[in-house]
Amino acid sequence: MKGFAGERGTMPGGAISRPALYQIALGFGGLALVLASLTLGTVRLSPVQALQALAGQESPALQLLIEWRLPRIGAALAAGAALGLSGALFQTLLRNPLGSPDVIGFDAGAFGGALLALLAGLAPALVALAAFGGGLGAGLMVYLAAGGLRADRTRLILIGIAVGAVFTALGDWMIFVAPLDIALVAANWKQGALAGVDAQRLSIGAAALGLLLPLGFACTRSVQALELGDDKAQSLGVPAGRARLRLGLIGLGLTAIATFIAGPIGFVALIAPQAARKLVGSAGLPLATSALFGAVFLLASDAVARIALAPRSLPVGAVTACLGGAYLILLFGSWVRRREPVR
Amino acid sequence: MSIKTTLEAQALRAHHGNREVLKGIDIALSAGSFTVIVGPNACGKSTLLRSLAQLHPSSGGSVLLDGHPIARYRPRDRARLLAVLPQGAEAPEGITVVDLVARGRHPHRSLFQPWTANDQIVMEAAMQAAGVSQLGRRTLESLSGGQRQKVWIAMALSQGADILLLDEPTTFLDLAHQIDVLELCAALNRAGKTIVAVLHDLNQAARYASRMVVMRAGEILAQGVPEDLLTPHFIDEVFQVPCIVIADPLTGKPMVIPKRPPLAD
Repeated sequence: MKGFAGERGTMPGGAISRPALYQIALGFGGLALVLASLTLGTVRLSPVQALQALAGQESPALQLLIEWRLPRIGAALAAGAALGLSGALFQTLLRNPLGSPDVIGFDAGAFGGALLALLAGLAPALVALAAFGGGLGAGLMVYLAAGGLRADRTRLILIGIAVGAVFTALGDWMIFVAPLDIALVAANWKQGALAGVDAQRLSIGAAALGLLLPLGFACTRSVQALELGDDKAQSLGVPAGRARLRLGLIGLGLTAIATFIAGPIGFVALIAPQAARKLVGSAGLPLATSALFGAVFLLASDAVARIALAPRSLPVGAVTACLGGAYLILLFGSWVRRREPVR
Repeated sequence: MSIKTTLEAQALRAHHGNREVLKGIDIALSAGSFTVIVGPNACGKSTLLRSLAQLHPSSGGSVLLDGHPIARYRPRDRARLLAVLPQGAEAPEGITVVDLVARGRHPHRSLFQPWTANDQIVMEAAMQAAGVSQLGRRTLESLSGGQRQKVWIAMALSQGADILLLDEPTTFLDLAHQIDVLELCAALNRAGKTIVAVLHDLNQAARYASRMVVMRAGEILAQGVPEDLLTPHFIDEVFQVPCIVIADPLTGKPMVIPKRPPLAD
């Protein structure tokens, strides 16, 4: 036993730990993807052109192109990070890889709330708040219907799926009855499309994210205690009930941000934490790596969405759903192989 | 050796829903003792342990840690004085022994405080004391039940608390591992820890406890040294099992031998 590899990234002796290495690798991968995303599209640029345009040394037309593409990239990174982190928080909270906000209807709730505010003609900041309110509403419904967090977790997840279906139906109904112009915006938003993101929506979302990401990362210690069960957490000096409430609220806030920016995109929150865990080889779900993986995953999915059927662009939600579906099959497959019950 | 921490309960009451499971418990656990709580199923012994550790809310009376109401302690300050091994602790899949034991340092660390040399020293000493130093890199799943229990004890030790509360630490273990875990508790007790454990086996309780607490129906019937408590009459009264009690030929401690019911002809 030559020293304990701390979850904070460094080992005694100064060597860089495996999580830190993978975070750096993910970071570089993300940067390369950002550059690639700038060059992709109906007008193809070379990476050099893209970099020069970023530095303001290209023709006005190319400058404009870059200014169009940047918000979309920013939106993918922000929504992806929010989804990755909220997935890790909820999966820890519910101790189940399926206990993800997109599976248990929280993003549908957030989208319902946002849609209601949009129909009422409220300002974007209020739409964002309404998204949080909708997510909170879905969360409360699941919580109450399941009879508290101590309820059987499988049951809680099944109830969450039902609540999500209710909110999705409500959203569809609202789009159906909305005036045509709003309905078009809303329908596009619902697809989980990053194309329509405007600078104002992105900046509100990014500001909220700037607040909630550090709060989420600060939960690392409670997460590690809660992973050992409520009793053990309590005996380590972590008030389990309060810690769970904090995790849940931050997770809901992050889900609302992602939904506000990019619509209800599925499967990122589901996959990112598990993939991040496999990548860094940690026991629990690593929060920072989950956020990073979510950001890179959504950006990559968006790049695929843009080039797969070019010149037509797919909604990014369709791409994440394809990848996510494949992942779910693998997950269930591994449970069946190990003859484990689907927890 | 540090000044020893004491733990006591006064008129402690607790409920499960509407049912009163602790009906005014008075108990004082002196520093350096090895107390074993026994009693029939559903007598409230686990609830007593959990209430002492603040894992179960009390509905009356008080628990005093070092003479002060335990509820007034900040949770992490309490965790530095009192460590608990609850039943049914879970661990994330694939966690290694070092990682788990290191998490016992939780109450001594903060968000911005990195792992210190002292944390490492205390953790290694805890693993040494629990006899799991060789298992550091193994995952918890790859261990036997007895080894796992010792790892959980190592984790509780790395909390650095004087008092260790164990809720049925030997249940589900085979005989060899039961003895292993109890011998570990005895060794820790000799090294200065105050141990409180809930056990089922009266003979094991008598062998290891410096003090026994016998409960029935939410009340303490008697407490004292095993030699005074374990009489045939008393055991029959508490457990409804007729028995004889002889001196354990190895330790001289009382040994309970249940009688067989007369055969019906």
